[in-house]
Amino acid sequence: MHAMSFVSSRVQKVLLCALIAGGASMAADAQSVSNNGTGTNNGYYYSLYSSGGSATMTFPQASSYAGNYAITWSGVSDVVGGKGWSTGGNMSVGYNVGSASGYNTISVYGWTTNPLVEYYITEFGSLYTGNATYKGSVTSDGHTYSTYEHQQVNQPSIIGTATFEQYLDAWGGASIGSNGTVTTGNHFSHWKSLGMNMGSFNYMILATEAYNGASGQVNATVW
Amino acid sequence: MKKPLLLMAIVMVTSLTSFTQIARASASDVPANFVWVKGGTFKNTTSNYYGKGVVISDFYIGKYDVTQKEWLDVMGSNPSKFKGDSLPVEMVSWYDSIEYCNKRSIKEGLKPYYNINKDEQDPNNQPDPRFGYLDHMRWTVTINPGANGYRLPTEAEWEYAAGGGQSSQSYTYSGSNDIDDVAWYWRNSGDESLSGAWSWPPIEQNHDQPKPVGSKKPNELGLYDMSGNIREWCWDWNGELQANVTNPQGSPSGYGRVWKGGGWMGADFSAASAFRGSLAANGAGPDQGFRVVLNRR
Repeated sequence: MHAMSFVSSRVQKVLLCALIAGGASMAADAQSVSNNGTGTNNGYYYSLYSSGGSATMTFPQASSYAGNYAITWSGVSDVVGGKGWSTGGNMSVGYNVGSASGYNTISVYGWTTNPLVEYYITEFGSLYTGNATYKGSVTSDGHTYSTYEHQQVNQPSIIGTATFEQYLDAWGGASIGSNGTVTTGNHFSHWKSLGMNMGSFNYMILATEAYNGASGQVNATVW
Repeated sequence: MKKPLLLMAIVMVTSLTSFTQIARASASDVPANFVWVKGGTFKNTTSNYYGKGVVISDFYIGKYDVTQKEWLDVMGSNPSKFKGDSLPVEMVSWYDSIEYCNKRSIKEGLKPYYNINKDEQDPNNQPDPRFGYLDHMRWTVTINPGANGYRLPTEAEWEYAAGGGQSSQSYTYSGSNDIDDVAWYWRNSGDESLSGAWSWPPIEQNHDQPKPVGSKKPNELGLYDMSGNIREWCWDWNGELQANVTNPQGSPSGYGRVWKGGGWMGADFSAASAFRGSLAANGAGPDQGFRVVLNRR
C-alpha cells in the first residue's frame, strides 16, 4: 500500500484497516460500522476502511456464524474491510463468500516482523504484479497459486520506514457461495522453501477490496 | 559569646560558598539541553542488556531529538518532509547524522568524533542477505574515542538512557508502561485517534506526522521522545548484542545501522525501549532522525 507496486497498494489499506476510530461512526453495539472502524465482533477482529463515497459494514449473521460480515459501498475511491485475527500464523482459514459484486480482490493479508514481510494470498480477483518477481507456483487446498515476490525500499511499514518484502500467492479462482479453505502453513512453507522467510506474526485478515469509484457489496464468513 | 558566633558565621558562609561553587560547577558541566547520565549496569529489567554484564560509563545525551532549527543552523538546508523549527529533523540518513555531528563539533570548537572517508568503501559494510547491497555509499567511518565532539549514542548507551539509567522504573516504553503518556506513534500522531491494526493508508489519510520535541512526558532521566516521534540512529551495525563488556560498540560489521525508539509511523511494539530496528546507512524516511551524545568532560 505504500506506493507499492506489487499488489495493489490499496490492498494494504484494507487490511486491517485500522480505522480512524475517532472518525468512525460505529454503533455502540458494534453492529454497524460506517466508512471507517475497527474492533472485535464475536471474537473476531474486524476492520473497515474507505475513502470517497460511502461504505457500511454490518454483521447480519454473526450471532449464528461468528465470523460473518457484510459490507456495502457506493462510489468509493477505495474500500477495504473484513474479519480475521489479531495474530496470524499457521492455520486453516475457512471462508464462504455468500455474495459479492463490484469488488477487485478478496485476500488473506497480514504482516510478520523479523523479518518484516507483508503477505497476500488472493482467493478472488487479482493484484497487480507488474513489478514483482515470479518465483514459481504452489498447490494448496486443491488449486495452484502463482508466487511473486516484491521488494519495497524505504517505504512505510508496521515499524516505520523500512526496506522489506511483499509475498503474494495469487489464485483468484474461488467461487461465490462455496466453502473455501486457505491452509496458510502450506503457503508459508512454500515461501520458506524459496528462501522467502517469515517472522513473528502480526495480524491476519480476509480482506475485501474495491476501488476506482466502485459500488458493490460482499457478504462473507470466516472461521 | 561573640567570638563563637562570629566563627560559626564564618564557617557557615564558607560552607555555603563551597556548596554554591560545587553546584555551579556541576550545573555548568552539563551543556544546555543535555542530561548527564550516570553510568553503571542496566537496572531496567526489560532491557536486552539487563543481567548481561554490560557496564556503561557516564555520558551526556541530548534532552531532545535534534530539531530542524538545530539542523539548519549547522547544515544550512532542511531535508525534512514535515517542516517546523521545533519538530525533529527527519529524512536524514546515518551518514547525514554523522556529518552533522562533525560539523556541529567544528562550529563549536570541539574536536570531531568521526573520521569520514567518502572515497573508500567500508569492507565492514556487508550486503543485506535478502536484498544485497542497499547502501551504495558505504563510506568508511571510524571514531576518535578521545574526541570531545558530538556523536551518536551507541545502541547500549541509547537503551541505557531510554530505560532510565540508574533511576530506572523498568518501564517498557521510555518513561512509562502506557505508551500514550510518553510517545507519539501511529495511533495518536494524526487528526484523529486510530484504532485497530496498523495500516498505512488510514495513517496517511489521518495526516499522521512528527510532533514538536518535548511535547510528551519525559522519562526517569528527563529525556523526551526516546519512545516515538522519530526513530533515532545509533552508532552500531545491526548484529549480535555484546555481553560482559564495558561500553559495547556493537558488531564490527553489518548491513544496516541500528535505530531505536520507534517513530510516529510505527506500531507500539517498535517504540519499546528494547525493540531493535535497523536500516541501511544511506536509508532515510520521514520518521527517521537522531539525537546526539557527548562524552563526559
